[in-house]
Amino acid sequence: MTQSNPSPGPSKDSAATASDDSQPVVYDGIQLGDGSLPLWWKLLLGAIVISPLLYFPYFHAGAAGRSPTERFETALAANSRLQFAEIGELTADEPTLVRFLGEPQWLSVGRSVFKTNCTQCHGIHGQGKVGPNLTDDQYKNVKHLEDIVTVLKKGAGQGQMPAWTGKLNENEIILVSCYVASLRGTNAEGGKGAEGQSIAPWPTASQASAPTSNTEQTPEDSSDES
Amino acid sequence: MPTTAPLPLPDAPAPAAVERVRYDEDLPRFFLTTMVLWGVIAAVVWLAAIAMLAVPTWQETASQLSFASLRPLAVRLLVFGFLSNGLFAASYFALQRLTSNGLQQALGGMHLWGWQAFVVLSLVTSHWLSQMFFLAIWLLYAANVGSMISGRRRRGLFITSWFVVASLVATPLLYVLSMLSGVNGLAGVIHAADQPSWLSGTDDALLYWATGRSLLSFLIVAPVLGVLYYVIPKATGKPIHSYRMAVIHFWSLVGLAVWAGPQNQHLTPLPAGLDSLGMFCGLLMALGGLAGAINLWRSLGMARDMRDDTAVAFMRWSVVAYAVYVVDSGWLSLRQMSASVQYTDWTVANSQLMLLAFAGLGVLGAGTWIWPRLVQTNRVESPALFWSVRLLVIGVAIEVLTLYVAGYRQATMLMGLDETGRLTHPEFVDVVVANTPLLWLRLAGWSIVLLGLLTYAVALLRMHAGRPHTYQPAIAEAVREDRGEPLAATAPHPSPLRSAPVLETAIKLDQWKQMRWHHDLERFPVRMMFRVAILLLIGIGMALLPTPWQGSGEASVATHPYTPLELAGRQIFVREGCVQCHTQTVRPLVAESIRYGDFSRPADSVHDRPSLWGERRVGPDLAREGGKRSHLWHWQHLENPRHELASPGSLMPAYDTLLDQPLDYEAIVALTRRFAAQPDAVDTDATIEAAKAQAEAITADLIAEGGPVYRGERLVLESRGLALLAYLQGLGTSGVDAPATATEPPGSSTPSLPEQVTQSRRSMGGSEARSNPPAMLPVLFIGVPQ
Repeated sequence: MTQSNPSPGPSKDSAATASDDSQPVVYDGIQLGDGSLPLWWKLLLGAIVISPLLYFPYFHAGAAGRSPTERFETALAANSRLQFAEIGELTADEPTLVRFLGEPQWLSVGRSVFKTNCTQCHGIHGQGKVGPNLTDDQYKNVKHLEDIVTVLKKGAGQGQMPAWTGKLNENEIILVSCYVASLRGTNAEGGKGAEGQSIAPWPTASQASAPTSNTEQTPEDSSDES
Repeated sequence: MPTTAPLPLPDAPAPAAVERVRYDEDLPRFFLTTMVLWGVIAAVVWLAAIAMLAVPTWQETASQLSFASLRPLAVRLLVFGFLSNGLFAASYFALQRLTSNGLQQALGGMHLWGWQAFVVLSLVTSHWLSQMFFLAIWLLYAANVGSMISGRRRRGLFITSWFVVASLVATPLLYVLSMLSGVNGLAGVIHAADQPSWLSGTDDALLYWATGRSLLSFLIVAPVLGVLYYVIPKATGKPIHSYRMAVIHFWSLVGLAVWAGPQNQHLTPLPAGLDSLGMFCGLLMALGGLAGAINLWRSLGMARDMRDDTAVAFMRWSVVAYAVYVVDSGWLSLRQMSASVQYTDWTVANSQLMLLAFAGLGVLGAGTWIWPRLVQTNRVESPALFWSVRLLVIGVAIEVLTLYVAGYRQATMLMGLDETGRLTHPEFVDVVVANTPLLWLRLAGWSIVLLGLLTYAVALLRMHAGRPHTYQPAIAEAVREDRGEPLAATAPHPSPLRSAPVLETAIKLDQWKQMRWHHDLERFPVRMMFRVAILLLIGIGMALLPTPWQGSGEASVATHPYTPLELAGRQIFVREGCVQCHTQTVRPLVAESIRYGDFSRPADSVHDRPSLWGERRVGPDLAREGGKRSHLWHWQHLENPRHELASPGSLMPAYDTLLDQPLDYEAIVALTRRFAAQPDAVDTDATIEAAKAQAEAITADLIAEGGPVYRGERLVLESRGLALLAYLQGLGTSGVDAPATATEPPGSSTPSLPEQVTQSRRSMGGSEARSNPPAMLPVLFIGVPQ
């Protein structure tokens, strides 16, 4: 024992005599026990040592569909099917837009996309922040219902409105367009001032897509971007 | 100086003379004092850092005072100031007694004051000279311990010495390498804002996780374990439960810490096989750690009569925290678990559990036991000490548990998909707002920790008041053991088979199982040191292997060399510590791809020196940020993130001061040169022209979007904020010049940056940029100095 405190004074290290087989080694009075590992620990060790032998061949031997990215792609496809199974692949024409404008459960899909990607600039209710107010009757780059899809796909205003092709899939673009169209006339509180022109109301389901008569103004710069 | 006077013993026929050894107690006393002082300061700075998030408007003067600037200071104060000083105290105290050799007082004094100077320095700068200073001071520590061990009177080394030796060897090795990786292992601080790191992208990220992160295992975890292996049996007076388990514990930590690094990089652009390897190494390391935790717990558990002993109470909690920490670390290394909780507060909880609960309480427990011996008093227990352990345990528990709850909530909210396959919380800021109240719990926890540390200081002062008029020298007697004698015969436990009628092989097997081979190894510290170093170097070599996958593989949608202006913006991003809260790697998970966009590819970060993948998402991932929002939105968001037009509820500091600063084109040229492999090839005029052209294009967009023309007295065109805007809007895009060819040509694993900068500059010099400035631009810019 070299321990000298709390009552300091010389003491003799018992380990000094530990030179034969019968004496355990002691450091500063600390003995070393002979405890053994619990069985569950040993079993766990065995399991962890053996499992890579199964894991690596299964996941990393190049078998199709097992790598993280492949499984991601499968999951993403499943997710798309889950989201859009009932409607299939949509085409961005007026009848389609008019149809989904009247289907609240699909508008809610559009709202989800809107909330993830659009509220930063257009506000949580579409009242407009940096981007224009979407809840009034004035539009900057839209004259017809399907122009919304064009603006979404190609962007507008020198990239103020980014192009979403490649970032959102076709269905998402169409459904978020419908959601945006549905915001018209809700005149959200605290909305941004009017920008652009008043345009004719959206066509209804019974209407044919008749050309509107309001042609004196062209959309500002919806075609600048490509 | 160690004074060793031979003591004549009347009845000493022994061949080995009994010597009197004097142990130095001043140095541990000073180190323990500094530990408490730095601990109090650390708690105050942690409170301030968390308060910056809880009340984000306090960060309005961004670059001076923000979570991003305070957190690194808080971590350094906690690690370098509080924990390291405590560990130096305890290791000097323990190693003198374990080697029966005194320490070198002159070296020790330099170590003491040098280290305090380093702690102060580390708060002020992360310049490479301060890193060198760290290494110099560490060398003093190593020299002192080395002299104790080389002049030891004992034949072998005790468990504590193994851990301290491993820490001495591994820390400088990993520190130097993590410096090369460009990201400081502590708090993820990037210290190379102005210089390109040695490696880029995936290579750099791998090196960082293998070295920078495992640095803490050796700077903190290993020495704390060493100290616990000494103080627990000393405080309880009982033996160490199992020598064998200690051996397993030690080598699993040393051998696997570096290998387990990639476990934190599941689903990043790192090759999948590598993170699986990290996963299994992480599991094995956790299992080894669990063996250690059981060992320490059983060593403690025998001391049922020590219920009222405060030192034992501290260490009991420390060991519990260690057990939870290793189980959680093993759990976190699983790919599925990592997919859910990586980048949330869960991982922060894991590291706070280690730093505060395991290391913090462990060091405080060691201090509680050592201090009365250093001040030579019997007046140990006091009401202050009674309350300090309770306050500290409660405070630390609140901090850690709150972070786990926050991590769980963030994980479920951010990854949550509803039954129709859509995000349950589409807006990131909703998740932030939902978890903001938890920050107040963290503040409460840290307040209690601060109170506990102050109470602890009072308790130590009370013990100090009971010191004798003059300290008696701590003198022990020791016999210099013969080191030449093989130790196999003197194993901790003689084989019971020796006298039994069994085969010699059985005896040998039994001896092997008794770890006698290890007992032999303990006699050769240098050999042991080399084994530690070799194990680490093998792991690091794996991390340094050339990575042919980088820059090749599937083409990424988003990679382009940085333009001079973007480079300047990136420097701001690094300097302001944005990486503390924003990651730049989207993982191949459905929820992340819906929220952020396409997952990150190796080629995406090929131009990143250092890599900015990050560790934590206080704010959203930025890997696909470019082009998602308008310039004007970003401008307003930088000016005031909580503005109703920006992102109400955000915790981000306002960077309005940044917008006020002028853009320094000369500095951009200098920066471009530093990041270019051939600085001479960078032409000053062309670089300035390119940067100006991009700044003009962005300003034009900004104004066209309805943004301001002037920022105070200065034109927006001259604002430094434009550089950051350029950088953010370029993230995850194919660049300003937009050709698909901007993606890295396959096979060029070491891209020459200058070529690409020159290339992009050339293309920018023309009439390219993303958007053509509208006709009104020349009018606006009349009078702007070119």
